[in-house]
Amino acid sequence: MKNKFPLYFLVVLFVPALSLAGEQYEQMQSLLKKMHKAAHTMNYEGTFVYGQRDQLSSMRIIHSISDNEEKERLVSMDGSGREVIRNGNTVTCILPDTKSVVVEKSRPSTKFPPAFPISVDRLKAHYAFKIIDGSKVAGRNTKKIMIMPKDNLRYGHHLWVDNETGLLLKTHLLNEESRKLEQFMFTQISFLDKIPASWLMPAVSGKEFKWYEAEKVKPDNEKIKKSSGWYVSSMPKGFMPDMQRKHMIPANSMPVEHMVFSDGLSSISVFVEESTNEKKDNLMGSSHVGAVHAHGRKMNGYHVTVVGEAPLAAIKMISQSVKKK
Amino acid sequence: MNKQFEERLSALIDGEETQTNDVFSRMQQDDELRQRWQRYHLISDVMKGYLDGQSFPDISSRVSQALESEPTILAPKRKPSRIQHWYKQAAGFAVAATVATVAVVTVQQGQFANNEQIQTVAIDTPVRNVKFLAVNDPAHPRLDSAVESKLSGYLVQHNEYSVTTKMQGALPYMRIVSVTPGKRIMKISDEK
Repeated sequence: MKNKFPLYFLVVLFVPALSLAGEQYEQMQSLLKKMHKAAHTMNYEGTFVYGQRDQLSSMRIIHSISDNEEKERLVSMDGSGREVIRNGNTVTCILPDTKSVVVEKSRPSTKFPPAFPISVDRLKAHYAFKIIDGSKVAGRNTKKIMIMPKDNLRYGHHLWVDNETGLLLKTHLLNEESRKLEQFMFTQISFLDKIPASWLMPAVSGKEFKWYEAEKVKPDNEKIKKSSGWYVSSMPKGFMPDMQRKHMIPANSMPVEHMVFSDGLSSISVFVEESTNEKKDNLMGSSHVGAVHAHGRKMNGYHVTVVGEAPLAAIKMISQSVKKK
Repeated sequence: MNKQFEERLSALIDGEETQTNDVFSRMQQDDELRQRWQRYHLISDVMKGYLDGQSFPDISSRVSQALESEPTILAPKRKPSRIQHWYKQAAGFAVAATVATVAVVTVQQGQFANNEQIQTVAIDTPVRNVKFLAVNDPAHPRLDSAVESKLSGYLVQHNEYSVTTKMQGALPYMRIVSVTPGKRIMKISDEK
């Protein structure tokens, strides 16, 4: 009898703890689902600030949904005039500072609303979760979701989600030392019944700019068909192949092999293209854009570029493991 | 002034010297020493980042104007030689906190040696140099524009297939829309 007491004690102690964790996971899954739905189905217009490392900038975002078609426009408010418009299967980047417009038409075919991409069950192995009441953002009450990595090969995420609509209002992206690497926060947001069409039109015609359009690049079918045989031999734990395709990149007439790997939350892309030594537009070594790291290297007549929202160590690990069968 | 006294003066500014009485009594009588005291403080402030680099050139330009309007009082001929002397002393100046800046000042000296308003330049130079070094951080050089535009294209491709975009829509594009070009994509110089 004496020996059994601690066993009972353990059962009493752990059962509520386990069910509490289970409840947390369910709450997490449903809150993330709500956030995903809001991002795609609400009509809204807002202003937010975006900060990365030592820089701060402000932008306006407009999201509209009509006849099951999403239209989004992101505009710089800092004078560069840069904007990105996502509309149907097209992404248009207007870059007045480089006098160029990049039109990308190879977005994945999406049904509406797009499928919810996250499985909390899958994330459990590599992240810990917590939900608490968050502070107000743009005057609205929020829940704060904390997703912290269990190793140093992925980022931590703090997400402030609007209680009423589920829309993501604020984020902190934390690096492997739990320091803020990137943040975004709405300062004003309005939910509307309908978005005027003019709000989704670009501010400049772009007539005088150089246009790089995906459909105008004629794919070389022979090269596209050729079996690629590229693979990644080792990657951070939990990362799995998500997608593999071959396509043409607008600013570049060469076909590019594109592979995407994901741990269920963080995604890393690998691009492989044929390359000669004379080509001067390839990234050599490491770089970053905000929290996105990139790494490029030469490989027997090919160039490998790895891009992803992950610490540099993870990006380099993948870059150095790209191999051809 | 001997070297030992000079080191004590610097240590006093860095808060490492406690015997102060004789230094201050010497300073009361020695005009050159007071000016040196002022300059060492300026160097120390620049090193610690207390000056934002914007306010100081304004002050020096006002000093320049004052020099022009009152040449007989503020621009005596002996000043350049005094500055030269200070530079020579400074080159052997051994106190840790100020060494880096002094080295920069010494390199710049030649350019301004013949300037009649050399005192203005002497105040201005350390500030400019420190700012210059901070802006062109060798650890984060800019990417070549051809490389940058290709990488931006890859970033669009990546975004369209990432979990983040599936969850947040256009938000990840804030990285492309934000800030001035050239500042967006940095080279990390951990390797070639």
